[in-house]
Amino acid sequence: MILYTPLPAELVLEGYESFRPEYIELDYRNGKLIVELISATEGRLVRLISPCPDDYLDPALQPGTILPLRLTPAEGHRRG
Amino acid sequence: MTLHHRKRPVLRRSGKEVLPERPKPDSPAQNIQQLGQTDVAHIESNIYTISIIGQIEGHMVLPPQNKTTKYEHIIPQLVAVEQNPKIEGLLIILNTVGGDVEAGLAIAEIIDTMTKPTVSLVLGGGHSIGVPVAVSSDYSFISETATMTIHPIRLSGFVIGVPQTYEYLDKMQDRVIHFVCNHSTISEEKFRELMFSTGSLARDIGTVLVGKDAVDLGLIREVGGLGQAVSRLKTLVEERRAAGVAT
Repeated sequence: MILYTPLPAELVLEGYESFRPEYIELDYRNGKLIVELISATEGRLVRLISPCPDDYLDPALQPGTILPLRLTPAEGHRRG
Repeated sequence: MTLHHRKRPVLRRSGKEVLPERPKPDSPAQNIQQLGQTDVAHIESNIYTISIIGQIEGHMVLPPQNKTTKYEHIIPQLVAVEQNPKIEGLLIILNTVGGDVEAGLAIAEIIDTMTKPTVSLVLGGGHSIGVPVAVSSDYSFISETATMTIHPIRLSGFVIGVPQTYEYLDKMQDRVIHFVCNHSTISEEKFRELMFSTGSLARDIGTVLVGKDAVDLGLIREVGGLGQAVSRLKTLVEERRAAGVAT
């Protein structure tokens, strides 16, 4: 990857080594959402993977959107 | 365009079920209380706006102090704009400090090959890889005080995971130069001259063009702001309608 920017590379890449976000992948509508966990109850949408172009115009699916998440026991556990 | 969440989605993650809890405000008053936001009237427009801000992020996620434009989201957005019958024109607003060469060129190429009218407006800055994006539209504007920095890739560029050879960077630079010169009226010779000029930038070689300079050199079509850009786009949309092109 080549960065072509007037900003010094050390400014852009500062903290790159220690930047280790935790991502989870969620099934959603037509595709998947890659969400960065920012707390136990919130995730930040990082990437949308969908074959439907109109999904990318949905204001609720723009990268950076904070999604409230709730972790619940899986279905299988409940049944058992 | 209205793309509502038809039903509450069920999200699963490795044995656990994750349910997004969407706040569902019942009244505007409740909305203000809960989110600190007011309801905005939903107005349908035939113009779609994309803003290219901060760093154009490529194959690598940049650390969080960067404001970034993600190419993997912009590209399918442009696909949607091209095929959505309700959208008749695209306005691209740039205030970018450059970024990944390949991501920037990909966005520029896709804007260039769109059949719907496109107008770009450089506000604040359209530096480095922002230059090919700015010239890729059907008609380009730059605001009076906006700047565009033209400089060589190799001196302030940063290479990760590729052999940092002169030839490689030179080839990358040629891709940018050829694209810019093919999509504006500036000559390759002049562009290279600006790129390698000394004395203009403090810690680099290159040139900073302010508003009118970019127009005088043939890089950008006109000095103007939002009003001019939108009215130009509307004219292009009307012309396309008159020509009987189906959206």
